[in-house]
Amino acid sequence: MARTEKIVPFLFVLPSIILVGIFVYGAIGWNFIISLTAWDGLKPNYDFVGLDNYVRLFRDEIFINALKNNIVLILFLILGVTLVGLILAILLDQNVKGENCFRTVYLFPMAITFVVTATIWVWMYNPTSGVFNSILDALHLGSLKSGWITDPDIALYCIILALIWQFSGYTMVVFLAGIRSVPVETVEAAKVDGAGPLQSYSKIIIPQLTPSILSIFTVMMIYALKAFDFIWVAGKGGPGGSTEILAILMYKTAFLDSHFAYSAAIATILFLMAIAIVLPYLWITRKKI
Amino acid sequence: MDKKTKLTAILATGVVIFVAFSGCIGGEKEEKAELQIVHWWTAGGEKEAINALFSMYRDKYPNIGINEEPISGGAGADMKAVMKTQIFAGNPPSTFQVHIGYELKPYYDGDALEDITWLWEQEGWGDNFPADLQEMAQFDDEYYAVPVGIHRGNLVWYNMEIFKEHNLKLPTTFDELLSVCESLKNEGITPLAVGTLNKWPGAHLFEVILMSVGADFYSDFISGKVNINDPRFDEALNRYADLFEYINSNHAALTWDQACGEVLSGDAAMTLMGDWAKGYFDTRGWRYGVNYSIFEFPETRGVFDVICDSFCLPKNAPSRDAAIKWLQLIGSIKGQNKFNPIKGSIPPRIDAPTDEYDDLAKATIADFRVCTLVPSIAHGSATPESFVTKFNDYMDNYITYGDKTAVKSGIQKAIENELLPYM
Repeated sequence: MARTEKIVPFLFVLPSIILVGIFVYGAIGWNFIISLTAWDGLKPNYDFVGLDNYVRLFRDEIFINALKNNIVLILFLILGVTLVGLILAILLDQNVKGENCFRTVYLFPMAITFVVTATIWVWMYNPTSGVFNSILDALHLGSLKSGWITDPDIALYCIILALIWQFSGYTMVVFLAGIRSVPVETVEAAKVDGAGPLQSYSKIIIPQLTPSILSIFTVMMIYALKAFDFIWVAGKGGPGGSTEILAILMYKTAFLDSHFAYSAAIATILFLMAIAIVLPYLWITRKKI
Repeated sequence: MDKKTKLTAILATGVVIFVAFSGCIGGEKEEKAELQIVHWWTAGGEKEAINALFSMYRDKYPNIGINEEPISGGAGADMKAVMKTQIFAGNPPSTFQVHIGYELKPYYDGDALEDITWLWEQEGWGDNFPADLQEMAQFDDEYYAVPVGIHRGNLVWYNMEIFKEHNLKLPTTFDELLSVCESLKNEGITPLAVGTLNKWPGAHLFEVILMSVGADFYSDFISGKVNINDPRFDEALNRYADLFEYINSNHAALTWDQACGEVLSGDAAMTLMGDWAKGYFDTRGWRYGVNYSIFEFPETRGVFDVICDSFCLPKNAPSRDAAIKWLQLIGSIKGQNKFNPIKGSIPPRIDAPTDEYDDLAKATIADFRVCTLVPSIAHGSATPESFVTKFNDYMDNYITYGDKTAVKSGIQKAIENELLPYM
């Protein structure tokens, strides 16, 4: 009987263990092995070349450019979605009439696929017929008109802005849940002690949102690392490589150029960056349990 | 039955159902030949063209089913990725679409294609296709693809009303083109519309400029024989830079068809594009010779920038016989003359009657039969794919930043790393 008790649960999880083992961990391991070979072209070539592909990567200005763009994307996207999400959550926390409606409206962009939103934002950013420059024209602010995504100096920031729009609804929901889980008693006690709304949020509520912030950081950093669809549709990393990030470079290197080992090395770097983000999160949350 | 035994029974039943449904046991497959075909023709015009071929195929071979897998995405950019993964997985379709030339090479190098020289000999195609084109379908003197349609890349499409209104003469030299552009600019009209959102149209424009410097020079360039400091390469870059003054400022936000839209709306006077642009104008009610017309990009008269669609036969293709029948159909006059008039392309066969084609296609067919045929870089025929990606990227950099030194060193590196080792 005791033996069955041990075996049955194991049997239940066995299919997932096998599938995850093969398709996730097996693939990661296989990818790393490929990155150490000379595989170039459609015919596999497993000649071992050690870390050559990695050495080449860090001498490749295109890779360095993509890495820099990726870091900018991570920093500004996280900063943006955290701030906008938090502000929206605080505003919604003021017992607004029709809160549910607002919540749905803010969350709605998350329900649209990136291919659609990227296409729409590219239209809006169009310097001649796009809505941004048209509005600026209508407001007689023609001097503020810009090339938006066609201007390599600001194209990446334009994409980050669009992504903030798409993600801030999600971060708002996470923050709102966090705010609502702060015990009412502590907030009430602070009020009794004379704390105004600003102090309540800055001294009592926001400091208790660490788990929300942490999970948003992790989710958004991982998204920013593997962001592909939006940027691919919004200009395939252009103009002039100004929005090219690692995932785009990896895809192009593998599936357009057929440099599979080199692309596997980019994938490994991406994986290590994701691990560097996830491990501390897992460590911090585990400690709490 | 206790709870644990019940759970075990449920689990076991679940596994059996899963296995049965996944077709591992008990599935009796009916053996019916089915042509599995992958292509990227999903837009208006091209979809109708491939469908016409399918219905011809069905009429001829009613016992063979067709299982098509269209993967949209301009010039097959997305289809190529899917194709590579399918071939890796040992699961190729019966046949798939590919541009002849270097776009075939990764599959040839990967030992994924069947030599179909016997089919060419059996059908006697050696006498029916231009020699230059046959060369593009060959590796080591063996044939690996069958061309179905030809597009021409070095054409400038212009708004006839604008040209008439401003009394402009069609330019035949590059300097004349610049002076036409200058006149248009002075009138507040964008002279040349380009849509570089997907990068390749910018590279396409530059490859035509390279041809304008000399067809021989272009051939040397794609063979990796050109030194990047060659004055002719400088000349090509300077010509491109001269045109920067006259192209639409929103080029990075537009696709090629939206650039055609600028010509249609009268915001721009000209655009350089392959002759698939015809489909764009025609479907919007414009007529060739009335609303729009074409001229060869200045100084490329006598040169035909070839973009050739073809199909190939993967090794271990399922329903190989069905695929061979497909290749026979698309290589035949009947097949090509069914497909091309609808698609807006021309037949690769030089013995195909031209009665069914419109005036523009007739003119293109006439040129095709006398011009020097050169393969396109931007469309994958002239150089290895990895070079094409870099070429597209560096040309996008050039049109964005205008930094000649950077583009020269980039192209030099691409020639060394992506062109010469893979020739």
